[in-house]
Amino acid sequence: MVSLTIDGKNVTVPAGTTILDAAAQLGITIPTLCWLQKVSPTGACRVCAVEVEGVDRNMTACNTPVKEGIKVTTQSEALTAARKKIMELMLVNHPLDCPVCDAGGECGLQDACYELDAVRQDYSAVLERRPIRYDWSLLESDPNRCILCEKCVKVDHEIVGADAIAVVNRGEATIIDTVDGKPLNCEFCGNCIEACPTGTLISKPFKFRGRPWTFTVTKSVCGFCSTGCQIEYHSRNNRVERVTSSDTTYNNGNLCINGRFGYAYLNTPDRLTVPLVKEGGAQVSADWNRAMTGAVAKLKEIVAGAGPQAVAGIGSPRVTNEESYLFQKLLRDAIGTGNIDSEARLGYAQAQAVLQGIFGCTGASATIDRIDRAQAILVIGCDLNAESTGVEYRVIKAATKNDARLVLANMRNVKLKKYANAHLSYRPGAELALITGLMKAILDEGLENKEFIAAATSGFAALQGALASQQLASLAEAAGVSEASLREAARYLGKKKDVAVIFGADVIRGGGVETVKAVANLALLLGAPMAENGGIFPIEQKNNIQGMLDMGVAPDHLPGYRPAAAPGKDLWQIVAGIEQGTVKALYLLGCDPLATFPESDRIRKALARLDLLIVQDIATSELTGLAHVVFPGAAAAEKSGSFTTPDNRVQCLSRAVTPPGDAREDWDIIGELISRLTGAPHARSVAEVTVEMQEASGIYGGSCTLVDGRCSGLTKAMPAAPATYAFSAATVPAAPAVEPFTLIVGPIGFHNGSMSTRSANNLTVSPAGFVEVASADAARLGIVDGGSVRVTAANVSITGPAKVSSRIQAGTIFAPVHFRDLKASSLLPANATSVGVKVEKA
Amino acid sequence: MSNAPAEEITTEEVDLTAANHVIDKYLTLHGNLMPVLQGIQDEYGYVPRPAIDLVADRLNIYPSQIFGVLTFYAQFHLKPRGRFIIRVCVGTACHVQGASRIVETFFDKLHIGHAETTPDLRYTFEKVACLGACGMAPLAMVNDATYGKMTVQKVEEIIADYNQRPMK
Amino acid sequence: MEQVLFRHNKPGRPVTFAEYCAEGGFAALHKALKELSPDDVQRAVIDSGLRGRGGAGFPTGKKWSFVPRDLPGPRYLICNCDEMEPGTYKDRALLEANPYSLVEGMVLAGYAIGVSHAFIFIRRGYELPAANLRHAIAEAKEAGLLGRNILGSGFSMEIDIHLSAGRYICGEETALMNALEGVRANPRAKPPFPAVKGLWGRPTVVNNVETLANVPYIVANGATRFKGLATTPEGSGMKLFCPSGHVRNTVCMELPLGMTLGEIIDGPCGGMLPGKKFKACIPGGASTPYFTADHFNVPMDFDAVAKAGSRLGTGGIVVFDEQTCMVGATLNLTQFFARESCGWCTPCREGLPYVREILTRIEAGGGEPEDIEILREHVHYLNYTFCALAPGAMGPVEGLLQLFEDEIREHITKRRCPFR
Repeated sequence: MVSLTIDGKNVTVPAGTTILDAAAQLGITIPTLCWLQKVSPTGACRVCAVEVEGVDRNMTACNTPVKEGIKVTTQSEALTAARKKIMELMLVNHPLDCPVCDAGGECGLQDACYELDAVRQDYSAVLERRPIRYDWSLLESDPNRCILCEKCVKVDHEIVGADAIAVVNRGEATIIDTVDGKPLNCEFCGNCIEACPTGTLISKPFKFRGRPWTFTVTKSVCGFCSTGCQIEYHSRNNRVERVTSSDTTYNNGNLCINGRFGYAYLNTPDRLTVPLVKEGGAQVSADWNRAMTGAVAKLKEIVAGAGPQAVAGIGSPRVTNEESYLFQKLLRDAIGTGNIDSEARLGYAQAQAVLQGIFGCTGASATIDRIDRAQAILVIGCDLNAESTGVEYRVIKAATKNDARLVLANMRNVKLKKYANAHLSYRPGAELALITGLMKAILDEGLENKEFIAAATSGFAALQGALASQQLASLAEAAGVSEASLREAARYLGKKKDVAVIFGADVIRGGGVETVKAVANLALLLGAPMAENGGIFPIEQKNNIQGMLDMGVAPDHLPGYRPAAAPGKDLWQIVAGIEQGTVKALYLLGCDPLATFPESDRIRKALARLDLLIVQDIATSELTGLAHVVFPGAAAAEKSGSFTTPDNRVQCLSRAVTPPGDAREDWDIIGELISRLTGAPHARSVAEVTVEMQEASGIYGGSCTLVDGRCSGLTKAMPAAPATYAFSAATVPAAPAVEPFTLIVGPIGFHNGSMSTRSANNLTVSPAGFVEVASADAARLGIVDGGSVRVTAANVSITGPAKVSSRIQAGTIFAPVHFRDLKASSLLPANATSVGVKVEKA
Repeated sequence: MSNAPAEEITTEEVDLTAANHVIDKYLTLHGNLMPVLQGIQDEYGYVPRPAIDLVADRLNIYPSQIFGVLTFYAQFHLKPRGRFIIRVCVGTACHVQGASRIVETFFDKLHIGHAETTPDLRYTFEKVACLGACGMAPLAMVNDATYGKMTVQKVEEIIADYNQRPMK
Repeated sequence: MEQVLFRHNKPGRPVTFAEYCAEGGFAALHKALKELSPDDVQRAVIDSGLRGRGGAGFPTGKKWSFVPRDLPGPRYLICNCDEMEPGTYKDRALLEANPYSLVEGMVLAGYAIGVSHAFIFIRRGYELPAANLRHAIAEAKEAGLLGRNILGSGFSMEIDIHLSAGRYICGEETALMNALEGVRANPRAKPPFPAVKGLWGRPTVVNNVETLANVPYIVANGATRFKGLATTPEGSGMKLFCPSGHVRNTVCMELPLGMTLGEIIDGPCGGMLPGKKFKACIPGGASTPYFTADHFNVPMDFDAVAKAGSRLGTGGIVVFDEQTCMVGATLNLTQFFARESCGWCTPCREGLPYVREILTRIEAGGGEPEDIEILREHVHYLNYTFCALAPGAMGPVEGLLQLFEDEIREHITKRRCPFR
């Protein structure tokens, strides 16, 4: 600890603390301009200069560490004059175009000028203009306004881990630009816009939409991926015009392209604004009463004729907990069927059941902020950038700021590779072999967490025995990696106090239950569950998959995971039931199985057999065209309720705008249907549903109180960790079949689900699907970049433009899951993320 | 503030064999980025874009770091330059000995300005800061050759001389 | 007059290794490695009063003593040969004549500090000095004076030559370290100081060529004798001066510290060029405030020059005759500094171009009386920068305001440069 005096007050702080932070502890604010708490200090603007007794030059408070006994003065006439002079110098070349500058009203330079009383400009100069970069997508850069605080560059490099912009040139010619002077080519997360204190980097979609203070700002939660980032909707005239986040949020103000720009889907012309009903084969607009009356009558007729088991529902990870709760209530209580499931059946539901069995917890064993300080991290079968960007930022932070060892196991060369100490590029479908190999290597090298295993687990000997009979060499061969690389990875992960194991779709959807069990075994070997900073983290692309399962949108359990008395049909049984004619009515809530589900061709055929298809969604699609009744619902910005992340944070969303046209909030639609079916009164508010949901679940509680305008106080009880964690029996991995080509279908960072493909913003940087082919394969098959390529699996084909790339292994191709036109997942079998295919030039 | 955005670099076809040799030479050296870039600058007379990607890949560093470095130091150029680089010192000692007349004479004779290259890629002209030979002011250099006590007459002689020299 | 650095100089060619050794070269190294402890060497340099010859004049021995003694792991010595201060060519002259005293001085310094790896950071365009150094390093290695187990003492040290990619700011020691590491040469925040955390985070000493080249003489002949070379009691040793501009002899010369400016100009410099009359000079390289004939009796030593309102700097004396426009000369200097600013911290990046703009205006006849006050403000506020570049750049502007305000006013009232 170091003691010093600031403005005559004594303070004691840990060594290494900056003068700025020490002053903050005393409640002394030193003005800053280029300082940004979440990145390394720059020290360039000199506004934070302070006097230190005995030192002849001023020191910058933001990057000068404290020293024992120093006496610091933060306010003096000389300092005030010097700070003011700096502002005046900054303004010499700053265009005073504030009236038409997007940052006007929220500009750090404006604020600093006011604060430091720089209200005159004695220095006149002929401004030399630099070209404004109008040619970038989503962002615009006006270097004339730049004060070179470097915040954008630091956020880009240190937080996002991109390499899109840099300080180039020198002296007065210094600017922030793309590294090669070409238009911006990056993740388009826009975090640099948020960091920019001036109007240099601005959002193009927001440009000229209005002065910042004229918008209503609603603090809410992002509705795209499951990171659960805290955001702010800025709306006017019932339109969301931008999304921001503040550095004081859980996510430190960092968003991804979906969070920041994806809001444009709200304003898509495809929005459903009125209920639709099918009449004589044609869909016509209807009022709510007519649509509901028709739907209820038909439901009653089917139940009367074929029994409640002829009705099924598929829910959605996009809707709120309250809505999921009401949806299962509608099916179970109002209709009387247990046939309810969701896309969680593609893997997450089963994975979460496995984890629950072993670790006691639902979803992750700890909140994701624990990843920040982990000492070793394994990311397996997961492109975090696409599946949960906010978690990726934390992994980058751990690897770069806290020197965590990172092992990446991915079939593809994904973004995290550049931070990885080891990249295990395994063969498609070889997740189980890889994990088993890692466990074998850990045991061979004696790197397992012996203390934890002895104290808190059972079944270790059996696992050890099972692994003893396996050869590392053959496991490595089956996984398609080298034995040495497995040992190396084991050394990075083993014998660490805090280990985080993060796994995503390729394990959860592709690998299946045995693979998830293996990941859990691996996590136990490494002692991940008891780590103070770390844990086991399943990753899911869609925001409320955890809350949806918590609410009992599953055939086998009720809200709060109480077992269902009579389990209903799961997703694939429902599809089979329709095919067999036993399921006659299907209610799809915010779920479009034709867009991104595996076997979508089969599902399409099945849907055509239904007597009643009710679709509740926000936009028109091929699916709504098939429906007998369409209920226009509301998007996340248009409703209230709560979401739960896989790491069990429950957060309220706040309504920023009202649903378009006659569309209604989904809880309201379902609530009225229940009322119409049962005669019970319809809930008057979401709050009422929340209370009912909390009681029914038994694990949700608390009440939402706003702290600084943001929801706080909702809770979800986590079951106590088991006394001992049980190792699962090891499954001997079979080497995956050798295919001439394997198609991997997965998400990309520019989109989330299919929702963002309705966002004009996202589409400007990622307009359509593609098929990524390795250069060597492309050359062999005569496929050129941008040329057409056909991919065939079993009897299904898709055709799309080729993207020839060096980031993918030969023999594998990749197609993004998001695009309705490409329908890449239609090639996949039910529970898989990869499939053997034939590839040819089309 | 007086500059255009960072020069936009056109993508070009470049034989990277020489660049690979340079990288091989320094691959294991601690702090090898500068010597590698300097070697490439020497080999090609500028640093071609594909070479930047190659360096980023082989030395495992961000292109942004390389671009930041390339645009910082005087030695590096992102576009091809003349066979003969004419530098006239405009440091203070040369300034007071009439360097500006020498500069203007070169401008007139070569029809190019500061930091410009003749279309035939024979000459690039630069005004430079003190070359550290103030005793010989005013001073000019053509590539590595130094010409002290420069006069207008000497400018013409130098150009006549270098006009005769081969381009390779 | 006894010469230290130019002792071995041969007319028109560099001294050879054999000549250097025959004339007593490397004797200091033999002596140090056989008879002296590293502390003894450091003590000798402290006692000699040797001050840095690169411009700042910091006591060399003291700088060495800041390196933590007990920290394990590598530490580095960097010889700063990025001579880019306008009006300065001493390091070039020294190395073109004799690279060996630098090599010897570096090994001695390395021994004193405990360095096993040293770098010479040399200016781009200094081809001959670099070639001489490469040659000298090879010869010294061959003779067992450099490399592994030097002279059987158990002390080992390597010297690598690093060619600067060219920027004035690289002369700033922390910027230099960034340049060596291969990143943009912005100066680094201090603390931590290089002696504690420098090149690649390790303790590092950065010394100028001339400074290090003086070390062999000190070790061989003792601190007292070195100190006594200066003509003033507080001075110590010899200094390389590089006169240029309107004087007769514009070659680098080694003179005792403490000779007065007038003695230097009228003596070794041979007086003004025929028909020219002295008006002013830059006494120590581009970043030092001007001297006029009123300063002819100022002893050219660190403290005396500072007391007289300027800095001894690098010893680059640029002499101006009566026909020289001081606004124009200052503008020329400011252009240099504005162009060489790294652009990182605000006052320097924004302030220097603005000063340049005002001086351009005044020189072109478009100045206004209030410009003088604005210049004065900048001289004051450009001290609030990250490194010494901008304060240095304000040296000549400060001198201009102090000594030649009338000349500025004449530009403004006549609305043209009176010297054109």
